Amino acid sequence: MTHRFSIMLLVAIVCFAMVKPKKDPVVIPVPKGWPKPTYDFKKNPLNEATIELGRQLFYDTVLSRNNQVSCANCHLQQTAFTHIDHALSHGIEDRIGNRNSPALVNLAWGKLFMWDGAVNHLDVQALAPIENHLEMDEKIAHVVQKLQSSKTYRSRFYKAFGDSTVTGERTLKSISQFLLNRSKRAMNCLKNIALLATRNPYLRTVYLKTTVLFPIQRSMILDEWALPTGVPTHSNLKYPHFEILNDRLHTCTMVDSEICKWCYFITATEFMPRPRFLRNLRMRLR
Amino acid sequence: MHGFSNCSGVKADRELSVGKTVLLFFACLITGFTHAQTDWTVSFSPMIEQQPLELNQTYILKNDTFRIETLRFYLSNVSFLNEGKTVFTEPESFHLVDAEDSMSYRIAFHSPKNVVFDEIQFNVGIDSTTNVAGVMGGDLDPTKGMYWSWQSGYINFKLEGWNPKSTARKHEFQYHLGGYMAPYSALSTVRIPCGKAKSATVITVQLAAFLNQLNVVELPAIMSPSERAAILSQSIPSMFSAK
Repeated sequence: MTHRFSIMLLVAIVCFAMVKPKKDPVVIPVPKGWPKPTYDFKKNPLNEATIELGRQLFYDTVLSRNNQVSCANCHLQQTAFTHIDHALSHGIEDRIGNRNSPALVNLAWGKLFMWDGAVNHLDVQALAPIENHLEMDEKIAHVVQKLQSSKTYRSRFYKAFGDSTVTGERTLKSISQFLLNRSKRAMNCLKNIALLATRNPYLRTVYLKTTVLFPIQRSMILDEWALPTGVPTHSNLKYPHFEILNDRLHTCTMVDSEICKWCYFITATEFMPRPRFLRNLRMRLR
Repeated sequence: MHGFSNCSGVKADRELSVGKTVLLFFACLITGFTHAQTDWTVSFSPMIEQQPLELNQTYILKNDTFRIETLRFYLSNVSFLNEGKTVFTEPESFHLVDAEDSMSYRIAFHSPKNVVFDEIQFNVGIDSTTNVAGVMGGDLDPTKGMYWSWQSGYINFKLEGWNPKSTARKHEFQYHLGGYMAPYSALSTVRIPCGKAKSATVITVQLAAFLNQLNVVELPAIMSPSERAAILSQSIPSMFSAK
């Protein structure tokens, strides 16, 4: 009988060892009447540990070549993760970039990313700023190496993936998880800003930096304001860009003499007075 | 099913015998399964005319002098044919062949069935579905240096080196061939005959065939999906042949 008992014990131990630490799944609620998200959550199921890892990465300067620039440098939380103080975002060693960082909202519905639509999936978007020499000027392989040598990150990767090996895939997927989870909070931030923005053109630009907005969201602000006169036109724009029409991205077809409401933001902030209350924005939004 | 004869040696002592029978049964099952399976390898041998490729070594071809510093390409969707019919398709078939890593030259295949083939077919590069499916791991991990960060997509074939005729900086040349979207798809399919019933097939990658196509004076670099990349990619299949 002791034999049988020991076999049963062995089986029980093996079974116990095979059960992975339970992860807390996270589901992004889709508001009623909204389309189905384009992001395939089955390939990257959200859970608390991975979202937390993504959060650490988003705010960590380790992603840049000189360990001084994080994603959050340009994607500021209090303004729906966009960079509203600048016409063009600045990156590593104060190099002025070619674009301003877009707001990070509704990302689960995005089909193309970046202002020129050159990135085809949320998971690979972070590669662009990491490897751009004006932004973070780093190589993803070196980021992985740096993370792998950090004891803290090895344990975070273990918690998220059940394995402490750092890979490019895992790094990027956890950043996606954080952004997907965060973009619903960014939407709430937009709602708060909307109340202030009707009086303040500066905050309107936050809306214009949102690449995916649904009619209900857009009507919160965009219909209520008209462009001031004397703003720059398309001739100022050096880069291909997109506009949003009927909730779909289109290449902007406006000619030089016309003003595209959507593209206007790129140069607009340069001509606007800096609102004093912006400094206290974080407090006001509480 | 050899091995079953061992089972007849089961004797008294009930409790122990149950355990033994179970163990022997599994042992028989395993040997039974392994009996029909096939294991074989396909290896790549990059050559420059008659010489095997050595990175950073100077080669003279016709009137050109070349040095290869990087050779890396993706192999995907590998399948084996016998008399024109597909007999085996590798699932999840993505392999990075890298001249810096001689281990990557040899790819092992495994099938539970008996596989006999006389032709091999594969893609050089990554198909469009995979290109739009987000981030991948293993050989497809973006850390492998075969992914464009600023414009999503895999580099199918990467060749970098030196030629004194090159008009680029330091007389270097860089060909990063890729692109998955029409009309500039750079994916090429290779289908080559090979000897029947081999456990190890060697595929020669004749780089001279590709190097002779290059015009390093007018076009020393291709770094993005384009018409030029698509045209040059068409000459990739001619490099491959099996012994």
